[in-house]
Amino acid sequence: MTEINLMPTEGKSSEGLKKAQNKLTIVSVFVLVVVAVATVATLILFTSLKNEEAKQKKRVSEASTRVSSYQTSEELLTVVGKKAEIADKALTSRLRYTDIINKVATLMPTNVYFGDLKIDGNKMSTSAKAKTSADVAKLVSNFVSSDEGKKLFSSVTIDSLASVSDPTTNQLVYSFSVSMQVMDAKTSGEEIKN
Amino acid sequence: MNLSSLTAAAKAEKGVDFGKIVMFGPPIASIAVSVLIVIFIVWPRFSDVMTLQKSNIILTENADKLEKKVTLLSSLDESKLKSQLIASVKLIPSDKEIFNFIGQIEQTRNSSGVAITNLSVGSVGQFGSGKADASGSAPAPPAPGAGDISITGANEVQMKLSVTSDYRSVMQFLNSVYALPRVVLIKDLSLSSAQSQISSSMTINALWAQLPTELASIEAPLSVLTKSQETIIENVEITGSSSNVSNVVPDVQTGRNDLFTPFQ
Repeated sequence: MTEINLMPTEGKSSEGLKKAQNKLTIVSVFVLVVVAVATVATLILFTSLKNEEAKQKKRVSEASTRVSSYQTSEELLTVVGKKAEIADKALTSRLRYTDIINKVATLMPTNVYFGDLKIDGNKMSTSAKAKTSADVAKLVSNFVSSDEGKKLFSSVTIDSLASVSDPTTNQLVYSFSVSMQVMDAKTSGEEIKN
Repeated sequence: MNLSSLTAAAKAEKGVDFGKIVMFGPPIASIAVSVLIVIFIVWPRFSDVMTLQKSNIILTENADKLEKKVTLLSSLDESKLKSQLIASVKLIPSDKEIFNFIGQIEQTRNSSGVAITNLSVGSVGQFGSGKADASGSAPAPPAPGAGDISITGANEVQMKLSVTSDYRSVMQFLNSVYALPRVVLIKDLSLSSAQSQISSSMTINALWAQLPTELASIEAPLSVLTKSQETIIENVEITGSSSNVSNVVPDVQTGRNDLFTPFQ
């Protein structure tokens, strides 16, 4: 059955306005409540964080005072640490030529001797004499193939080889020059020490 | 026509409009107040909260770091540190200490029995001692400032040196130089043999580093000595040597004790 609204037009519009007012009131109350809660929550959080800040600042201040009371120890440790760090770096990276020479001596066949030896950084070169070509081959083989030689040198090159008369014995000997690349201290040094 | 009734109707209509506005006023005003509270109170405080949270994290970290530092510092033995300082200054002096360096090399020469034929030091080559070799050509002193090359964060005093002796003495000399309390690096080593004598020339770089002028920031963590750094300092304290270098040439299995001796 059709509903018949007999209310006058003015009455209808004032009821609509009333409904809108109610809705707006509800919304405004909701917004007010949300804002109030947010405000209180923010202020509580702010206050607690401020308290935390004050607490941490006190901790920092107390610890700073205590650190300052140990200033002498800190200065001593800083100086010792700096110098020890430099010394450690330098000693770790330095090549000990005496160790290299001693190691080379153990790898040399008895019928080979050096006329001179130069070590410049990681490059080592020598001119030597050998009784026979087999001695030259043995020397190079020891440098290149033996375990100890591999730990000591990364590359070995014979720069020249000739047979000459040895002035001390007047015998025919092999004169040759060899250049080697010494492993860096970390690789060779540690192994040399061991 | 009754004009007065028309005017009354118009007035009544205006009253209704005003009533409508008044009716919506309080909720709109409360929303406006809420917005103002958000803009002027909540939002600025919320920004402060965010900033405070971040700064509190940093403050807490700093406090933790400082407390750790306090614990570390309180565990240090000041008298031990003082003796370590003495040792570390022997290892890496705080200035060039050229004459001390020359003195150490001369002591090493005396103990190993080599003869120094030429010696010139860093940028003060005019203080070179010793005599020229047979050919009269002394090695050129290092160029001014050449010895002050910074490596490992340190400066260097450069000494060019020529020595002559038998093989064992030269090796003894080199080993003794490596065993000096001061950290030295030997470079450009050259050995040559003539009539059972070994002539050797080398460059010896002695390290030095200035004292730190200021401490790091109070929050900066302290680094304690590593195991190897402690060992180096202990070596200097106990043995007076920067490294454990054997002064004895080890026995040679393959039969040669001397690289330069001709066939026997």
